[in-house]
Amino acid sequence: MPISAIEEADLFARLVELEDTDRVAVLAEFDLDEESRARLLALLGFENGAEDELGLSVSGAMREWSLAGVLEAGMRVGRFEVVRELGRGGMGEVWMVEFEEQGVRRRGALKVLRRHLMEPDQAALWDRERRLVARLSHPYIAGMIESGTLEGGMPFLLMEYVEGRRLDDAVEGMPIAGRVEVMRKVCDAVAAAHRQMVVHRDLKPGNVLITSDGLPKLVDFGIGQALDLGQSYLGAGTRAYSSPEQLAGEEPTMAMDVFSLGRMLERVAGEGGEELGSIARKATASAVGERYETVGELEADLGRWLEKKPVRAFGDGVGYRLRCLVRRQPWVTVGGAVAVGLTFVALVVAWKQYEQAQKRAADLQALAGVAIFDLDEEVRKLQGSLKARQMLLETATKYLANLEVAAKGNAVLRAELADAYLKTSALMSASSAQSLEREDDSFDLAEKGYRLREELGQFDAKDPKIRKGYADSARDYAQKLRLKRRIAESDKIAERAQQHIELWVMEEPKSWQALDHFLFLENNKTRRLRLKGIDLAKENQQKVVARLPELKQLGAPERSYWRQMVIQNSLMAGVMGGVHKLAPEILDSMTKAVQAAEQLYRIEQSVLTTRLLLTTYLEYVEYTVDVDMVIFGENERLIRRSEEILRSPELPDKDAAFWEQHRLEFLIMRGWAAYGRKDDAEMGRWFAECRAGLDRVEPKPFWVHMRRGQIGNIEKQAKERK
Amino acid sequence: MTHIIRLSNYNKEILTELTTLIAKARDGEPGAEPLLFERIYPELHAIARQRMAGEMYAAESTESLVHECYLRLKKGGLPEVADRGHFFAVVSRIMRQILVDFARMRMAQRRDKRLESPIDAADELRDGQAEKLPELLAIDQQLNLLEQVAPEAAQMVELRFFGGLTAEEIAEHLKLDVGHVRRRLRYGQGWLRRAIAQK
Repeated sequence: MPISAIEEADLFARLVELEDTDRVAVLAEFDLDEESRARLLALLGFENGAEDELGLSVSGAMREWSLAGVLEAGMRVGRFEVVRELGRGGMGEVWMVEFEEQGVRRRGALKVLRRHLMEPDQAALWDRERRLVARLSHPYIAGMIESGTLEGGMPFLLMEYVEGRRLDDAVEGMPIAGRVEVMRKVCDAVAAAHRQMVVHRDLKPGNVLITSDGLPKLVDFGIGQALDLGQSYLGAGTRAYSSPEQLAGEEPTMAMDVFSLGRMLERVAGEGGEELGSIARKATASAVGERYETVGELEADLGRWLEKKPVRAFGDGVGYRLRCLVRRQPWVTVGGAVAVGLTFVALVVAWKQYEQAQKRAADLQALAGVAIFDLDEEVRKLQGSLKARQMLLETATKYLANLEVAAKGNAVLRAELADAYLKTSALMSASSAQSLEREDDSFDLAEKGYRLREELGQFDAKDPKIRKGYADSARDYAQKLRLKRRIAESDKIAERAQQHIELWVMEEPKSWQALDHFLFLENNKTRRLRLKGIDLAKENQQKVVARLPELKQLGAPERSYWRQMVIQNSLMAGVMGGVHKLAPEILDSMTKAVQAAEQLYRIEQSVLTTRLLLTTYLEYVEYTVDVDMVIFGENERLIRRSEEILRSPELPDKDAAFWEQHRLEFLIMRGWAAYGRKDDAEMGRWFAECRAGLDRVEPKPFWVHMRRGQIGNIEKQAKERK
Repeated sequence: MTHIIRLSNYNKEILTELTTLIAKARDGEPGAEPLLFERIYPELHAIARQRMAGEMYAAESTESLVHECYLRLKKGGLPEVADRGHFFAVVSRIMRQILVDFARMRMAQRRDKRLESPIDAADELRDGQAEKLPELLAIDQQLNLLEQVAPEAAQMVELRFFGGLTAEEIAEHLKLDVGHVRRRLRYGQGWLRRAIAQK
């Protein structure tokens, strides 16, 4: 009877570590049939060297896997026939394909991701690349024919297939003027791309093909650009043609392309004489500030060389004017500045105008009273389109970086820097980005701003505006710490700020701004007291609410007053929340909050006031249903109002992502209300719709998980009460 | 020449944390799942990087392997993981599956291609690497059989070759004596080789 594998394994275990001779001896002790004996001996034989051999096979397969691309020559994918590989980079590969279009056989360059790695953030990068490439339309740039998805979900870009010789090969035997003319055309193409805010980043002779009619075609725009994943992307740019800052891993800039073009010029027209040499040197200066500011300038100088006009050492026209403009402002250093030609100038000017507008404001008080949380509203009114605001944010961020450098050791600039942190943070909210990175950036700014102000001793300043700036900064930072769940630190900051504000209030009893800030900061105190018990918190909050009329008396604008009313009454309700016997009082506070929110909305229909209104409505509905105090008429009214508002064409900033959050919360409201009416079927429908919406939110911020949990809880409760 | 790289830097605390997170996520605790995937990702990355370290692969292929592993975990939902050993078993299984799927796909493509182009076939054989994929499939096939008759040995082999664990690490995670592990491993390896040779 042949032995089982387990028995064989045990026998094997006894034999394997013995010497050959001993094995024979031990084996003889066991009564084995011939077959089993033979198999066991064979096994022992095969075991020798098995580890290495098996290891080789597996790692060999692994190597193949890692080197394999998505496509292979000869494959047929969709309507494309894959012919040969043109290149590989980052996480994408490009193949030459053939396909039929209207009966004609055409060729194209098909670009795919090396792996089907379509995580949400990657999908976004891919989309971005598609859009970037689609924008590029220039006779000297290989254009995009089509983009889409192949079977199996593989996204692709189909680009114009260019047949031609590499630049450095093609210029052999060409007279120098011809070479320079080709380079000038290449510059023209790159400049066009820059105007579309696209940086090539891998300019080199291999990426410029010269077609049979002697014209250049730039290929490979962004082959790695949109797809790089940070540390996994190796070799951004080819060493010989990459600028020092690019090799150091800095973010792509147009100055990098200028450098690469300079190197290419050297390669292609190196022995063209002193003037060409000086052009090339200027383009390839190590310091960004010493290069041509734009590709356009480089092109212009090449043009001048061709026309035998004197080559200007420092360029002229826009570049020169820009540099002069930039030099006049003490807060921008040229080195490191990202010049985007006219666009940059326009943004800089707009930014300065905004600042001037602030200073020149007729009602100084009104502007001075604008807390940081309202600054973003001001910006919204000023700029209009979301895209413009985002561009402004980008400029602001770069300006900030420059200012950080310039401000070292300069007290005046450091104060300016503190303001810059605050404003940039406000701009971030104004750009409505809901990404986690933005949150981190925003937090960094808040932290830096606050620390700087502490260092500068701004809490003690004589100038009320500076004090206000300090208060804003402290509030902002404390709030962001809360969001990061660093509660202890948040409370410390808030307390410290509070002490200063109290001082401020005492020193300036007539200042409504001081009181405004003071009351907001008292909220933190209320929250902390709540941890100890309701009574203390309630007492504190009552004190706050009692001082609200004072705000009005001191001349606070309606807006600030009503805003305080909403927030303080909400908090009052929140403090007492959960205690059943206080229900009438809670309801009273909530009703006041709702009324105040509606008042505020009547005065102003901005994003802030709208969101505040919707949130207050939600809280009201949630509470009343929770305590079974369903006030039918009222709930229905609030829900209908919310619906109207969210559907209104007048909704400010309609495309912002947070409205989706409100819509989903409104669906929860509907579900809640149905639960309150004991209509479980309807409740189920609303919650299902809400869940579907929550699933669609990507990436998932904290509130999504919270709401999911909330829905789950309510459904559980509904089941239990049956 | 070692083809299998150790996970010598593996941190016990990390493993415990991961196991707890998996349990929480399975229970539907809100926030646990995204946190888990965030945490798993770098760990898989570390595994894959070590796995590839001696083989001179480009960093991006490590990224790919990890990413693919992560995608499958995500797509397939969370595995039932009782403890660290189990976690490793799951990861090894996934890595094995990735390779097997790839090998099958490639072989199928090549079969189709071979009919059209004898020249390419010759190129392949010259490569030397060409035969690794069929070998892998053979290993996978025989490993499936070994799982039927000697599951313990099969699991150890999988952990060793696809998860990259050493005998000591396997012993620790499966809570067995290291000598026993070594012997079982050798058995499994020998068995596979014998089975493949005799096919």
